[in-house]
Amino acid sequence: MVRFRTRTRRTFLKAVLLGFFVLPLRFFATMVKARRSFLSRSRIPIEVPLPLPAGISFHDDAIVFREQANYRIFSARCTHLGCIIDRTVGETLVCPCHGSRYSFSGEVLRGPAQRNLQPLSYRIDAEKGKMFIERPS
Amino acid sequence: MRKKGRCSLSAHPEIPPSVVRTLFKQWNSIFPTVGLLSLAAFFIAILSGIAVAIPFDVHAPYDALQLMLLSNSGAEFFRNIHYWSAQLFLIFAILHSIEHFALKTERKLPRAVWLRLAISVPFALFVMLSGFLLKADSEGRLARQILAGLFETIPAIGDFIKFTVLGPQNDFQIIYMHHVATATILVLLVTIEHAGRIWPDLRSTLYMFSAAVLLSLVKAPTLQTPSAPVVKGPWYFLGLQEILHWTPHPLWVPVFSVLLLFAFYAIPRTTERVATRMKLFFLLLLGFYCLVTLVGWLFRGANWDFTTPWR
Repeated sequence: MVRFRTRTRRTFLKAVLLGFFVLPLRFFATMVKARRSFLSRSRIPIEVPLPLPAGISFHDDAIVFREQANYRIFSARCTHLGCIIDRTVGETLVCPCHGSRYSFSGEVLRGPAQRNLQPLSYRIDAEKGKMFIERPS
Repeated sequence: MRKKGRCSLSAHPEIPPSVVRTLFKQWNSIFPTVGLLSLAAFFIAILSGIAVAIPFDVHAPYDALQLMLLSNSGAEFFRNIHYWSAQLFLIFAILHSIEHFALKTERKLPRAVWLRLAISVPFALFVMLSGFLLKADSEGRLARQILAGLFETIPAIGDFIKFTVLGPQNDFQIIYMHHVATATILVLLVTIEHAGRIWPDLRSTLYMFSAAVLLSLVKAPTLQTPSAPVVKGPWYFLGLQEILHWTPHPLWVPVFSVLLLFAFYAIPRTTERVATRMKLFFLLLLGFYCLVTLVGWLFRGANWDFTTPWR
């Protein structure tokens, strides 16, 4: 009986101690979540001055491929680990982290990445002479 | 009388002889033990780190380091010592773990001490890696992206871990805090508890300091310019990089790392037969990691193309 009581008390104290560690963590997690949600709501689009050069150009988190008056715009984040793609080799986009390669239409040509680059929507403000690209999620 | 939980620094006659054990015994008869050398290197890294922290600017780390290397020879000297003593700490800490396993002394440590040691392993690695990230050059920034990406792969808590460990994007405040305080203090406390002493001995300190000075003269750690065609991580990160290159689903890397840590903790708690097999597995894994590190170091060129060292 005594042993049972001791164990119960010990278990209770352990639970309280664990609570002391878990509660601040829970609070911190909620704070991070709220902050992230605020940041995603107030996401400022990527501003690109026009005219753009023909071919590939890199702008912050976006890659723009211009072919005459047509634009193809992708997220610059590699779909393997989210590294920023910032270079081309020949007719391919190369991730500097682990060498994943994509075509200029955003399709995976060589791993380790498995998914194509995320296409991004954009709008052109002719008056300001700028292009506004949505930030990748 | 030796305290319980203190790191055993002497050979044990009841342990059957083995090649590794003989090697460590011979080493210990000439030099201080690898454990003492590791402790000494850690202390030199901490002391020299204080000197580096003074001119370091967390808001412009790359510029601060560049300025330090160009105009402040005293700070440059301490940075070199800080870098090399940290590398020596890691090498000798790994050797010390092998020594424990070879001499089977891990079984003599109390469960709580071994648990804290196992927990301190990722923290020790993070102390090293955070120092590399704080360079904020092209290599450091790339390593940060990879680490952030790895955390993001963890479901549910990945973002939380990423923010706690790395802080907001392009901000180095939290990494700096962990490097100089959180992780370092934790590793220091566990090291002191494990070694059973606060200060390293003079002989080990002199050996490690001389080695750090000599290595600094041979190869001073530099910063990588943004235009560098080949961007690689620190030597202990190259193997992981190579593994990630062959892994389409990077979630396996943190999962496997956690499993390894559990296995590391479990070694003294299993039967001797199982423990021997687990140690053999760890040794093979270390060998494999060294091999992929060599591949990453010697055979990886610009844009992850295969190359040869002589090209």
